[in-house]
Amino acid sequence: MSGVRLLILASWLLAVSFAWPAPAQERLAVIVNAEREDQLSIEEVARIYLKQRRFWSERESIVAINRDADSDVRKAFTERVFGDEARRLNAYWNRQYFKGVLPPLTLASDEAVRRYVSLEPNAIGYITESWLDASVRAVLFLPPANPSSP
Amino acid sequence: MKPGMPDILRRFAGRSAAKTRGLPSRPSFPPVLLAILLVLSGTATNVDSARAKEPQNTLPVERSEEPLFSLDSPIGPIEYQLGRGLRFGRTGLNIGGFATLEIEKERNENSRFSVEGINFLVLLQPIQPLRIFMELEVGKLYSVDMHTGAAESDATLNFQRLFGEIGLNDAFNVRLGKFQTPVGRWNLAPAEPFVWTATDPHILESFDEHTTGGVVHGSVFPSTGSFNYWLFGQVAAFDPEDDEEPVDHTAGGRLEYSADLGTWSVGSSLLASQLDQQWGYLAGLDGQFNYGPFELTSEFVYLWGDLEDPFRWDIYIQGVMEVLPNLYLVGRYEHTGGLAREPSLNLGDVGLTWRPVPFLDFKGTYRFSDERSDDVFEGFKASFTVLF
Repeated sequence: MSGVRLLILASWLLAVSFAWPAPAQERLAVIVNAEREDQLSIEEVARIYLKQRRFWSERESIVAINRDADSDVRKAFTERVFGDEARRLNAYWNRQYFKGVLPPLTLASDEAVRRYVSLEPNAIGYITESWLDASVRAVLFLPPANPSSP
Repeated sequence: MKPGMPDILRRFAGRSAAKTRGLPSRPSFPPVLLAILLVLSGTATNVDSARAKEPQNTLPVERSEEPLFSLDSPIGPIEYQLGRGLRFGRTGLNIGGFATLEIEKERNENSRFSVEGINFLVLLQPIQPLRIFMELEVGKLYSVDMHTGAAESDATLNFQRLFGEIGLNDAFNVRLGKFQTPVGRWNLAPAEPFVWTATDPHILESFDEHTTGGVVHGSVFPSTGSFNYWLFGQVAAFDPEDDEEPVDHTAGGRLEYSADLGTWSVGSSLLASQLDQQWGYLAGLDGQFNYGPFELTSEFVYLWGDLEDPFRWDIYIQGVMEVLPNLYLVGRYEHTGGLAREPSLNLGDVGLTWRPVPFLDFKGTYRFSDERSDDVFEGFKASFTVLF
């Protein structure tokens, strides 16, 4: 590879890394269907994603949607919602498996999560804030993991 | 392509469009980089065009966490994930389970290797508030004396659990069938892959592992904690072979408070049981505390009545520490005493548990005992369990 190409590639990577914050540096929006009026605390979101809380206030079953396990958005969400307790999640879901409870299903992109939540009245999901639009309603914003990040 | 890359390309496209419309943009990109961006924005536009062709009014297809394989079908993706089973699309059917191998060397006995059993976990959730759950155990598959080579197989098939449940809201769920007796902490998930030692605490002999009848249970969420309750009763033993001498009828309840997503929790249980016209009663307390790599668990039960004339009590305390990533050091002390248990019994268990990945579990435990009898195991036990 020539020096010019290397320079171009390096410039591009540098520009991308500076111009657009990674999910860990961007706020995450916990979203519900636009017609829902619920407000949720971070503890309630955690309980929903642990399937401890399974119903909306009007007795409809909650459909929680996760991002795929390897995504940066998922890692940022887990870190911000569960904190140090994230280390025990595998053991927790193993025990739930024995009880007949499976973890939330996943979607592979913020766009898919937003579309799913906009179409499914009982769904809840999370996306990076820049993907937020009027088709869904944000019930909680999760701050960047590192407060000193832009 | 790395996950999330399309998002980046989409943003590139937006920036380029702003530039061509004369809108303000960052002035610091060199011309070469701008050329690259324009090329990439063309690619991104194509990606967006492709997205635009996707039906925007249909639900995206949800997937399991990390499927080993996935097969698209008219009922949705049929996926298999290690440790989470085989999911049949949107039918709500999931079939998985776990299998256990054991090696034990009891004091003054030969070592034995056994294929302890395969337990199938079948979940059917056709609509959200309703679920049907079954644990079917194919047990005692194979056992061999490792010194004499004498082997035996006495395969059994029994329904460890089989129940239907409907939830009206978080605070009120009704379950009918055969289920784990909700007494104490260990018995809520007592199977090999979900506990820290290859040996079980003696306290489990204080009540039947399963109840056949009904249970009403639920949760309420004050502040950052949760209250969980269970009220249950047994009308008949569905599978009498499972427990050696199952009681005829039971009625009981459990109340549990968990704080901060389970950082610590306390529980209490009450149980009344009838066997051959005689009654026995149990009152229990239990708790668990987690801090960093440490976990501390304790249970206490007090039994009295005709079945435990006049009384007996049992307590254990167990500590777990993650000494290396996924490697856990475990210790447990247990004492059983009371006038119905003379002389008293003291048990000590020490061991290591290794969970290299969430669906594999290796355990080795040595048990010390101050009683020499056929009723009390003393020696070494190791197990290997795979969740499938």
